[in-house]
Amino acid sequence: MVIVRSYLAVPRQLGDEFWDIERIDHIRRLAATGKPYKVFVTRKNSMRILDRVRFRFEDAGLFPDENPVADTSTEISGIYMASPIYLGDMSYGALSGNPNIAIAMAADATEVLAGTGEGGLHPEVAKYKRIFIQWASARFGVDISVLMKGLGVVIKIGQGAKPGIGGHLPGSKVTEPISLTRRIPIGSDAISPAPHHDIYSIEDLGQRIEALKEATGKPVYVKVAATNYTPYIVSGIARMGADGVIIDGHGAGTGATPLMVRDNVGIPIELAVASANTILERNGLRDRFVIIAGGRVSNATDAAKLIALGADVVSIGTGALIAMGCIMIHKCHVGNCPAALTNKIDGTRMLDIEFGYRGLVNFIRGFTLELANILDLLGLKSVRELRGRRDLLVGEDLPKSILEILGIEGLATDPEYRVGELWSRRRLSYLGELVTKGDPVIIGMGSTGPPDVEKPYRIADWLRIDGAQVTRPSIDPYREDIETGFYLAGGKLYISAPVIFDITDAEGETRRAIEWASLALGTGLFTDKADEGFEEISISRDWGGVVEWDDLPRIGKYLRIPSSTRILQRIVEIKGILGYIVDEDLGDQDLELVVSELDTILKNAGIRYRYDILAKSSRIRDPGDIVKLIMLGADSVIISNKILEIAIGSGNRENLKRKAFNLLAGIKKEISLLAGASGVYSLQSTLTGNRELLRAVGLQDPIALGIRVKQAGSL
Amino acid sequence: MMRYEPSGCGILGILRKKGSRKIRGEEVVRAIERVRYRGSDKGAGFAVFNLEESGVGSNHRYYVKVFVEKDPNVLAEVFRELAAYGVKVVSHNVEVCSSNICSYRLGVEASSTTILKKAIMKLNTLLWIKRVGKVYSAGRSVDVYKGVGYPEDIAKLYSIHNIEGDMWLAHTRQPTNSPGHYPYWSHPFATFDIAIVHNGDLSSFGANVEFLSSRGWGGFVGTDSEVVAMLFDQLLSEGYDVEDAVKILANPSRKHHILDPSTDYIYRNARLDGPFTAIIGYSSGDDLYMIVIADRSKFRPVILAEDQEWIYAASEENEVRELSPNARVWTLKPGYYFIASYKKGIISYGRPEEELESFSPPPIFTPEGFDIDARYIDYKGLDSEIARVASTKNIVRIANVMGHRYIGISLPRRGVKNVRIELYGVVGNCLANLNEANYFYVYGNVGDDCGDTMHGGKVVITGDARDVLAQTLQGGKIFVGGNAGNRVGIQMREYREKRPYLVIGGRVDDYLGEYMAGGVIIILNKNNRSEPVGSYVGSGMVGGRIYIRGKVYPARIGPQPPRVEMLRFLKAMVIEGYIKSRDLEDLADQSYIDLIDKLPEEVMRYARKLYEERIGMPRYEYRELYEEEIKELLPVIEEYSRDLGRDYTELLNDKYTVITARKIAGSR
Repeated sequence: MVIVRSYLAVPRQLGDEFWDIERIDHIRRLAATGKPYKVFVTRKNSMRILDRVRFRFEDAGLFPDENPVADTSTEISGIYMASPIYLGDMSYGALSGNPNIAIAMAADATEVLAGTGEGGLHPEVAKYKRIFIQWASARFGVDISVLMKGLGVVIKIGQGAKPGIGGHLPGSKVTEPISLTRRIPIGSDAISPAPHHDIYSIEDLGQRIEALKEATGKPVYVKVAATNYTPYIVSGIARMGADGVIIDGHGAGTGATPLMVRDNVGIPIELAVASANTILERNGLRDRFVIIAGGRVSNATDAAKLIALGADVVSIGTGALIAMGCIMIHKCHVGNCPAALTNKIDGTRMLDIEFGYRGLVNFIRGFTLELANILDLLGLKSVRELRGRRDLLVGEDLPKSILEILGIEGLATDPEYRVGELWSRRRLSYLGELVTKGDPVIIGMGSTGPPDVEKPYRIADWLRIDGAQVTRPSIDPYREDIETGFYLAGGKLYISAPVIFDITDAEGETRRAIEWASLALGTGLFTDKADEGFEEISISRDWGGVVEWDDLPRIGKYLRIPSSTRILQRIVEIKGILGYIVDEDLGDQDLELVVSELDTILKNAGIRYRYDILAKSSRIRDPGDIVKLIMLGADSVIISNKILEIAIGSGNRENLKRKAFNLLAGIKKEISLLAGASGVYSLQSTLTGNRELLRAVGLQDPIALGIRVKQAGSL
Repeated sequence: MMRYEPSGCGILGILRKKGSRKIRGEEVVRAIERVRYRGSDKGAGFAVFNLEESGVGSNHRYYVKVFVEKDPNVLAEVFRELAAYGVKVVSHNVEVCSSNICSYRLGVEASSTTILKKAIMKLNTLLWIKRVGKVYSAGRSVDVYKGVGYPEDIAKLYSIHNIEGDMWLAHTRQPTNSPGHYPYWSHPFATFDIAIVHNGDLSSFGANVEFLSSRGWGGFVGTDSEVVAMLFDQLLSEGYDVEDAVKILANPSRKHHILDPSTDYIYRNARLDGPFTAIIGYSSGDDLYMIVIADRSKFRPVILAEDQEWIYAASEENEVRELSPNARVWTLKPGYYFIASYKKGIISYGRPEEELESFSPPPIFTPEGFDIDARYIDYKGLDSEIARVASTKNIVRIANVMGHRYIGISLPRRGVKNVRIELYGVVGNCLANLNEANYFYVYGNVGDDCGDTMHGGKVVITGDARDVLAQTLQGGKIFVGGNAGNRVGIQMREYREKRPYLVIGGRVDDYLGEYMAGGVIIILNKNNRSEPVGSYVGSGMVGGRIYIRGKVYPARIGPQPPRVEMLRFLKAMVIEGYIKSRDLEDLADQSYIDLIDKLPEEVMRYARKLYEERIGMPRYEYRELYEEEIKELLPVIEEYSRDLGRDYTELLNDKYTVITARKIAGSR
């Protein structure tokens, strides 16, 4: 048995990280001393919107005072809090027991609050007072006596790391103690249903809020992931009689999330909070209602900005784990956390409770002192005076629409949109895992997704897919009948997912592997000549395919056109063709722009239903790109066979067919995850051209307008 | 920019049968007010249809109702725009005015309905861009009354109590957004002689708007509900009859092959997705239709009913019982739709007709010698009364329960245990949630979410239970005499000596025992005439046992891949030589659950990778019960028989479909 009672060295970080050395170091300093370290932290090159917002009068050079005078205390639902900190909802199971105890102890000692997460109550945690008990879709570990042990109840609808996806404790971490509290067999994945099956609308949620209030007599909070409709959902939650909401922004921590969902679904907390606060105030619902904001709150400066944007309290999860020794290796889902925080409970490694507790208490104290310093410098007596003080903030290098959503002043600029690289290291390792396992890639906490952390390459990197929460609940992608199939060519060609492999330049073994896998999966092939046995899934140029394409207009065939908006008006005059293949490799404009424009022109002419639009590019990287192109108007997407080579990289080329199969199986399942997460049963009917389910995160306004996608948080 | 307006709601539809008396507004108001707690003061409305009126007077005569801001210029613009299409306003009067918006009822003459529809589409686009008004009702047979308030408030506002109709729709709204204080967002939404009320939320909304815009529609107020009426109108105007339009709109699973590929393709943005229930009222000019559709999983509640005079559709049973204590009541089955017409009666029952008789007879409302009369108690006020009575006796008898919610949930906190609580009537949602030590006997039917997270005690229901019965039941027993709905016994679990039992006397719909991890479900299917279960039985099961009396069609167990995809998969396996080509068709015709065990090892690995992500397919056997099973189950069925007042123990001698988890923990 290894007892962890000191910090481990943080490994060298190879790619872009949100929780980089600087942020980790800051937390560790607080945890070591309990004293303030730095306020008005600035991050010059950050893509994150909150980092582009600063206080008007900040002076980063100041060394914080160890004895600030401002009052950081607040009160929510009749509960006194010494500091506006909620230690957010990390379950017993996601964490390995001792960290749960340390968190509950620290919450009591510092007079803040801790949420238990979904795993039920660790018997030791039950001894502490300042906890909120979670009621989630699987009801793991709750009965009436457990609910009565907390100061309040949290109905968990969703979390920022995976909006629209249920809790997921991988089977490897379901050892005996977890099996006992959750009452599921040892070793089986504990997958909570994506929706609550008793909550499919706002009045259903109201019913559950009322039921839990009747049952316990305690305050009831609702936790939601920040998504497109957060402001509406939050006002619904307030109207339904809940005492408050916990809004969890994208990029928030988690024990396990599908990477594809993490990187494509949900919106940043800063936009969600600003927007929720606006609509609550407008409806006269803000008084006596509490907003707890979470998701990448890394220091007191972040907290102060979120409070100024409208939050009452901030939720801290990952930051708390870093204070207890997390070294950010993103492996929480595997179960062998070296810091003994998220490891499986098998008696081989444990966190020293006292060590974790001390670090966390110091962190909270240091954090609180920093917050008090900020208040002093802003000339405020109390943190309660800071709430909603947007006038103290100013934005830098943000699009006008984002400044409006935040409700702050600033010089509007339209940021450069292609700033990253096509194949980042992270994307390569993702593809590598897909091709090996054939399952959706799962990852732990510490999101690095675009546009906030990884720098965007495609327009798609700026877009987020809606995560279904409450009023439009998610469809469980693991158990429900989500239809990913598409009819093309007027119904002549059916493919099981909107994915067509371009094999025009594939030969030999690679070609055979992709053809075979495409048939096995039932997806499509784009080729010059259809090979025998694969005709029913082939779009061929010359002969043999069930449908055909050409570079010249031919009756009954697809017409391939370069990705360029300039030719569209002329092209749509052509009659009798089957549809359009927009090829980004041939054109000079982004596929997103051209596909959306073509879709719009055809719709305005009232003839869209007669044609297919197929979006083709060798720069389409993953299901996130595919689904977003569909939502911008493509009927299916043609991807390059080179993806297989890229995925294999320097790995061995044995079992190429199995690898191609895995790649496609992974893509298909991840498409289904994204659909389910946005509450969609039938992809073709519901997602094609459905821009309403897309939001942009700080994308420059002219492009967002051009593709008819609203900014996240806009009403 | 469009605004998005999700809302939750309570809904109601009533259609009279030919020859029976008309429905009075006062009755409709009473019924919808029964589910006042589903709505809010932010909006309500009614639509009344009268067929006779369409025959009266000129063929070119119509009614148009429009909300306009209190600004004479706006009304002038309405007249002007209508005139531009040759539509003549022959009469107009103000119906009501709220703070700054008035409702006008116009009598108009137009050369054809097509012209009038075009004029209204254009007018709505113009008015709505400026947010100064909106036509909200038009046609010959329909009149919509809607506004801001509870149903009772709107009824008073428009004095509808004494209005009579052949068909009514009613709605109470629960918005999640601000413009609750404008009448535009209230239901019903209407287009030409079509009105709808809707409960739920459409994820297809954005796609539907794209479709409608491309067909020339505009002036969307931005609620998902509105597009239901517009889509239905559009489909009818493209030549579909009522039933075919409904088939497209309801977006059935492709597995049922209800739409041919070309229709599916052309109307790919015209279908509804996400959780919804909608009641559509439609006048074809010579007949009236009441249509009920729901999403394929029926995530939103809907009750169907009929008595001698009228036909009903409602969110909850108490709406129906308010008017008709003895009506025959059943539910919509997932994937089905309900259509009734004034002249033809019920055209489609919303489930196979042979299943109708398995639903329980009307409940008993008033027993002898009761302790509490629930008629005078608020929908969430019964627990305190029960606690009061239970302080002196351990049996509490309650009469006239009508949709009361949360019964029993606060009894632990009030220190009430080991009490037998007898409920007569229609019990509302969330009965016996978190129950541990009380015994509930219901002489009637129970709404949704009964027995959620129950750890002990018992619930006995002589009639039917609705959806999500016994979710995460972890101890104690739930016995149902009649049928139960969707997602029954989902996530049941057991823990050491605590093993829950759920026994259903009748049949159940889809997703029985989904995500089940422990405990025992028994479906007795006492009425043999229909299939005992719906589809997706045991999806995601990791433990526990389900016993279903009789043979269950294997395709109903677990999730099933589409046949066309299965066939392609097998063809690929033929190419690799894993399967012989002559076996292809035969294999492809089998249900996946039967197929999987017949596949060679290598093929099985591929198949499981593709179709059994993270959760395995359950396992099933059709057989007589083993001795040790009878030993375990006999006392349970004996207790069930005692509670239900009839001996069912003999049924244990029959053959059962026994469903268990296949998954070996930790393996894929």
